[in-house]
Amino acid sequence: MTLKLTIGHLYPDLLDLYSDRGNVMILEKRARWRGIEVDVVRVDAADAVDLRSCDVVVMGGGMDREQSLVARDLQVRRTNVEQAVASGTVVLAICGGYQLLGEYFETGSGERIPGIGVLDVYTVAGERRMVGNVMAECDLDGQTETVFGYENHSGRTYLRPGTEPWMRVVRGDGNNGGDGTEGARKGRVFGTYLHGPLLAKNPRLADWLIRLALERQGVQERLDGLGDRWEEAAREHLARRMAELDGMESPHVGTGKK
Amino acid sequence: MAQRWRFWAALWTGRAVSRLLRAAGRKATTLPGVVALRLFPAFFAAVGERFSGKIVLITGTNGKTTTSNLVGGWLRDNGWRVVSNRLGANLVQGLATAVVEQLPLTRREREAAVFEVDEATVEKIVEDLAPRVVVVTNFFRDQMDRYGELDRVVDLVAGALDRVPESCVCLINGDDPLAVRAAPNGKTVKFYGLEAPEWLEPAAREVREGKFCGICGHPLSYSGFFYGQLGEWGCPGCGMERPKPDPAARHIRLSGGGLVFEVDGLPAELNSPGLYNVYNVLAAYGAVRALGLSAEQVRFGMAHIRTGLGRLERFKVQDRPVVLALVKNPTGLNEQLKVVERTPDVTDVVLVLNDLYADGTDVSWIWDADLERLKEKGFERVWCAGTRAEDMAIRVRYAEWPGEIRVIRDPAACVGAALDAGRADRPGGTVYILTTYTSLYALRDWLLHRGGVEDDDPQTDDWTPLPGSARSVQ
Repeated sequence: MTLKLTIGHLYPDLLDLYSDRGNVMILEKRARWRGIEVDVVRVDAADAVDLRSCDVVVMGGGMDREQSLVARDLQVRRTNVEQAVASGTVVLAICGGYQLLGEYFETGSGERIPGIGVLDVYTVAGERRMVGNVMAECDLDGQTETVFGYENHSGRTYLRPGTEPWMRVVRGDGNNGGDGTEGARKGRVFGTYLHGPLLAKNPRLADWLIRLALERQGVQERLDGLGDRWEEAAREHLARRMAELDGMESPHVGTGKK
Repeated sequence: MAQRWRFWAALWTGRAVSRLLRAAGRKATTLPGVVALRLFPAFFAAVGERFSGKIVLITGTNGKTTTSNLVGGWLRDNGWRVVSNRLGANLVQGLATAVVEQLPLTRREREAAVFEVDEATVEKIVEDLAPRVVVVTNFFRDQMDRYGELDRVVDLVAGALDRVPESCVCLINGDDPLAVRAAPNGKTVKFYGLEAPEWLEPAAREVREGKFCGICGHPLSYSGFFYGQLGEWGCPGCGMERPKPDPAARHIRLSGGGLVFEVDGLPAELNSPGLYNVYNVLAAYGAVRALGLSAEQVRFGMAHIRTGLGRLERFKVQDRPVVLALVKNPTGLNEQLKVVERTPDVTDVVLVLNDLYADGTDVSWIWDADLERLKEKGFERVWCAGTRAEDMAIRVRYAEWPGEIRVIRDPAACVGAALDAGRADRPGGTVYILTTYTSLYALRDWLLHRGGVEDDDPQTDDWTPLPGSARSVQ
């Protein structure tokens, strides 16, 4: 029997900033390359899709204008998201998507845009934008995995007591630039500020999410290695490069010549 | 009077700094301007007065450099003296430096300043310079690490246009709903665009900006796209629609590796097939007309348009055709990929991805570009170079290009290897180089050094010889 993975891409039109659609492409290709059949379901605002039909749901970040449209639509889907999560659907939300999975986003003027509260976090607008490469660590089946990404946000997200951060920041700001946490996790729901896209340079994390999504169908699948040669090289190089970039601020650097 | 004296004192001091820097073999695109502005903060107001309105500012995401080069070139063809920031240093200090280095002592009737200006910088200088023309080319996502969201960038430019003088013409790309959003009320506005329904693409395979009406917020509808979000758009919510283009480009067709078309009945010919360059020609045409050139005065120039310095520039190196193009954001990369797709016999594609400040430190934008377009294109190898070469290799891997992926960090070494590799199997095949900003001029120097410009028509946009040190600067 061939395996089939159904990926729901939530709001591909509205939440399309910072290349997060790459996460969908990466999950899709990595499953296909192993002979797993993949169905990608686009879910735009007002589309009637039962998210329980998806093994994994992916959400990206968007501009403020788009995000408020999503916030409204998401309220309508709240029960359905909860049902899907209860049925074992994996949810991966980045940046704006992450904020909307929390309790609320408080804007600079004090207005609270409600989220859907599947993660026990809340976000408050901040003055300083947190921008740059991020190196963080998370746990994958008992092993510590280094995760590389890029953050660009001014919202500060705080975790309610008892809420598990998804990662710990090694370099960068993470949730709020203060407590060293990055992202949040509750069961099969994952939120993070990391773009890049997140899964591009973190292939083990991508595969781990695919396995988690397949578990839902009662499948304990061992995924074959894909020889992630460029990914490994990129990780090694970026770790070194981040140290180099730390001291770099000037707008008029070099011409690429050494 | 004292003011005039202070202006010239600041200018000459800046010029001395510039000479010293160049004598020391250093680049001098910003420091001379910094010095002049420090000595005389009202520097730009004095420049505005000096040119008494004959100033063109060009802003927007893509096409600034090409457009300002065209404007400057056509003016010079007609005997005008032009001060311009030709090397793309488009922040406040870069503009001041251009003036410091180029401003002639004496005034004359036919002189102008042509500046390409960073989107966040226009508002800082627009009142002082009091331009005759402001061009807004387009808005695409670009360097969000620096500016934040695109909506904010549009607002910044809109704010600047609100403050142009009465006599100013705002030339806005009407096919771009985001640029139209920046159009000011109560000023003279002209919208340029394409009248070319045969070039409209129905499919939305690219990531597009500006999906919502700037007035009522309703999703826009399109009868088709030219590229990116540029197209024939309308808002079903409030009835706002694409303005009728003036000037307009008509009868656009591919011809001998380039494009031919008509503007106001004038025949135009471009040596490269990128549709985006038609917009640059329209903007430049509108600008020089607003400065007072007649259609006849640009007839010759329009018929021989060469895209310049690293903008789809063609070289011949060891008998192999090489094309060099700048890419800096998803839409630009998409347009270049279309050009590669239309080019027969490409053997090697070299992609250079850097993450220095001038490139943007966030390289994730490559995932917004439609690299999948080249899945079916048969070429032998793809080479990745630059400070983030591996990130590019990963992107290409997921796009499932047919060629073998090779990574060589140093851009020049990488291009060298690509030239060598193709010589064995298909020596006549083209090597295509797409690079981000900080390697552009270094690669161009390298290519010139080893071969030369394939088509060395004098119409390229480096009219005046630049000192060697200025070639490889920002």
